Amino acid sequence: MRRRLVRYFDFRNCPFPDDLADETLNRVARKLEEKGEIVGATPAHYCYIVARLVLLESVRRRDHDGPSLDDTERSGGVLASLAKPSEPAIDTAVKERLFTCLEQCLSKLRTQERELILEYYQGIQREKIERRSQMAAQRGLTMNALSIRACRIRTKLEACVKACSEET
Amino acid sequence: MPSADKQRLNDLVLSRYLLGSLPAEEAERLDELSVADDEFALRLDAAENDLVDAYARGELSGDALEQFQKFYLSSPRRREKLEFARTLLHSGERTADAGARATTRHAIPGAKPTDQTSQSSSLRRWFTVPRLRLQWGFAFAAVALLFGGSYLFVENERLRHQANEARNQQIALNQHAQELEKQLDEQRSTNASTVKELDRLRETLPPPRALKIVAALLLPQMRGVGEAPTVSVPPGTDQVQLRLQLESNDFPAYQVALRDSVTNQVLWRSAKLKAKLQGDAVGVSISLAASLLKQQNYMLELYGAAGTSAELMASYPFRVVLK
Repeated sequence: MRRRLVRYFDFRNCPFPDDLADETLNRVARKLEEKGEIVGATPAHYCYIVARLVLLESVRRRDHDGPSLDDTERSGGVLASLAKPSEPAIDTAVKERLFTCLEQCLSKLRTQERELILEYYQGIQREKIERRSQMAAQRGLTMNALSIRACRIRTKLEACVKACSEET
Repeated sequence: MPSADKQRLNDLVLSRYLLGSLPAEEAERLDELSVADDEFALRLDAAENDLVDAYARGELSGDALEQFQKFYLSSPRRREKLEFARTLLHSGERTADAGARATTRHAIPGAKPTDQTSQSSSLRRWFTVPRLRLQWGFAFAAVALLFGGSYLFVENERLRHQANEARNQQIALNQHAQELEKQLDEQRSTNASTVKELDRLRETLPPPRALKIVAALLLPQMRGVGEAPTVSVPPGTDQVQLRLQLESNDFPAYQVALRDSVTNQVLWRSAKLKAKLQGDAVGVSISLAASLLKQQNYMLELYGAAGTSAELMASYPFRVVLK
């Protein structure tokens, strides 16, 4: 749920999607503590409702306060040295660091997960589609199920690589 | 609308949503779904990954490319996502290049070059896709190999055992032959020593001497005739041969008895004898051991034998003198 909220806030071009996602979940948790249950909506839908509220508050605040220097600095992460938003310029050292982190993170995966993720993203266009179709058949999965599995592994990898690159 | 077309349309909507190209109202609807709907959220994840990968590979063009650069990459988080996609893509390319050039490469655990991955996945298909016939074939081959191996092992052991048995028998036969040879040698040796002993004894024994015989001719006793003839028997005499002359040869066979004239006892009887012609006279011959006779008078009685009966024909008295 947190990841979905982060994406929601990110696609709304909020500068700190992680903070807003945490704020949303805190409010939902507080509500649950107060009321004991959520009525009138599913938990996920309730989360959206609260997230939308948090988004509106954030927009209102930005409109009121304007952007700050902290915003710019905090929004960079590993890629803070980007020159143009439209085409990030990543130097070789960063690339190598990312690659090393990917190696480490891949090694932490189970063999089956590693093989799946590497094979899933091989090939281009038609070949990629056919490969995925074969993979699904081999594993006795639907294409959708295979896609979900690959996504989950990729998400895990991305988080690992991000954590690794911020450590080094 | 066919499900494939519906799927493609949905994917198109998702792409436009990700690129910020949807109208606000529709975008808000998808915003809600992206948080509240599990299935939609997963599909959106997959669509975003595919979009980013497509950009990383340079597959986007036209409006999509422009929107991606203008909208999608406006977020640091999304730029990070792009970098991850590039890193993932390049890691595959790196390993593929390294495999092609056969040079030192950064080995990503489990990663393979594209063509090798394709080959390895083909290889994996051999063992993961349920190809029952192939699997059964392998299973039968394994069982056949197992039985074949077991049979060969057992046969080998049996032949080895036979060879050992034959070897043991050969050894036993050789030993027996050696024992027999030894016995033969011992026997030969014994024989040789026996022969030697015999030769030695022969040398020590006195030479065999000729028998000493005394012979005499006796005539039948006549009434009123004088003394009985004397037969001298010198010392060392072995035999006394006596020829009894017959007046007539009336019987097919004869028997002679030696009677002690003093005690009147019969000391000796002969077997059945035949009369023989010697010169002009017919007679029977007997041979007495000298040790039987003492210095005294004796009587030889001549019986004519016919069937089971015997008839006294003549008497021949004589006196033995030992000198």
